[in-house]
Amino acid sequence: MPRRARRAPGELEREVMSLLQQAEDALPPAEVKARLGGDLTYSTVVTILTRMRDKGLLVRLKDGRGYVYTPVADQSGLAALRMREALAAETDRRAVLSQFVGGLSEQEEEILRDLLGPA
Amino acid sequence: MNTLDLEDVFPFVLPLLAAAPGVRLIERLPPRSAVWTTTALTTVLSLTGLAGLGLIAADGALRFHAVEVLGRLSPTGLDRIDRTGKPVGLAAAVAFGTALAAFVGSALREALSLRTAYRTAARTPGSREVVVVGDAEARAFTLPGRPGRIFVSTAMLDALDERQAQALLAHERGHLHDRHHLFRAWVRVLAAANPLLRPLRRSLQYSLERWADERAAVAVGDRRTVAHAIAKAALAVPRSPGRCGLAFVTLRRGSAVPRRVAALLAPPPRPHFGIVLVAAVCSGSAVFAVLNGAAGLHHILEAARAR
Repeated sequence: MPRRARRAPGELEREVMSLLQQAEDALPPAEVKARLGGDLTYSTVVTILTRMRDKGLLVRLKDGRGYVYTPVADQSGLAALRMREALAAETDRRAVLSQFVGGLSEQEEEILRDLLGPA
Repeated sequence: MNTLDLEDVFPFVLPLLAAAPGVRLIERLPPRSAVWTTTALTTVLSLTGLAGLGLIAADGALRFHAVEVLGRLSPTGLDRIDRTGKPVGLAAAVAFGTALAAFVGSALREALSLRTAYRTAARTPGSREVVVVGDAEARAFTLPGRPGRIFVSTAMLDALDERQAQALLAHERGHLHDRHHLFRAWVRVLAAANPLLRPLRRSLQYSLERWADERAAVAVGDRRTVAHAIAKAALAVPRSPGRCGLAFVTLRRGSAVPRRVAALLAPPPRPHFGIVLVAAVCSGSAVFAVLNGAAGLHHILEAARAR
């Protein structure tokens, strides 16, 4: 079907981005290719993913023997806001979060209070 | 023997005192067993502690005229038996009330915390478990919910190589899939009722991290990789040079990291039936002490009613 045959590079990136954002998990290139449909080759998809990764739009994670790609949430976006909310609630009640290393140190709490406090 | 002696009830204090040095032994178990042992032990010791205090308080209350009248008990019957004195009973009543209030208050706080977490997780866009956020500060944590979320900052991923990042994510998935937040909340509530159980609470925290570490080691197939991931992540997390007053806290909290790394570099811990048995005996004796005390109190009431 020629519907998706030709796309401008920017358009393709946007499509890949929204696809990954709506995905239930990080996706391998083959899955991205399948979901995009059309006549894109595997190496084209990998090239796009790599370019987007270089721009900081995606990250590549190791998953078993292969790689999967997942979008990077914007620092001013909703996901980042939720992250800050979670950390702020933690500062108040310090109960639920499991942090990879250490608890929140006093200094980190201070940074957070500075961030959220006066403004 | 229709008496309730303090000695009948006080044995529940002994396992409490043993709990603090005991945690070091429990921490030598494989972390999954350590978590379950700590949780079971804390549950038994906290609840028997509350019950024990309640018994002494109830016994002390029988000394007061009002209770005798309300309960239609015979003062002469009660006077004939040697019981907990007024001051001890009063102190126990105050302690019991305080502990119960702390227990309930903590339960409410933990429930509220979990609810907040679940809401925040639900309001995070998308349905992906791993949420990578563009952020210059290295962070990684899990937020329990349906589904739970793993937040990782780009700075944290930049600090690690791919295998180490995989280890980090496997560690966080371990927290979510084994529902570590529930263990933690429950033990925090139990420890709120009894300050002597604080070491167990701290130990549980450590064992939960160790459990997730060992899970990550299985996922990436190499314990050294996990050890390196933890060390590099700990160094990447910004830590401004603390003032004197705060340095101690940071040091204490941070001190778990070197221990986790050391544990991963050493051979995997092996099951140790003896340690579990000691914990079981501790729990059993606490339960026995309280049942014994309850039986004593029952006899006193029977004796008083009989007259």
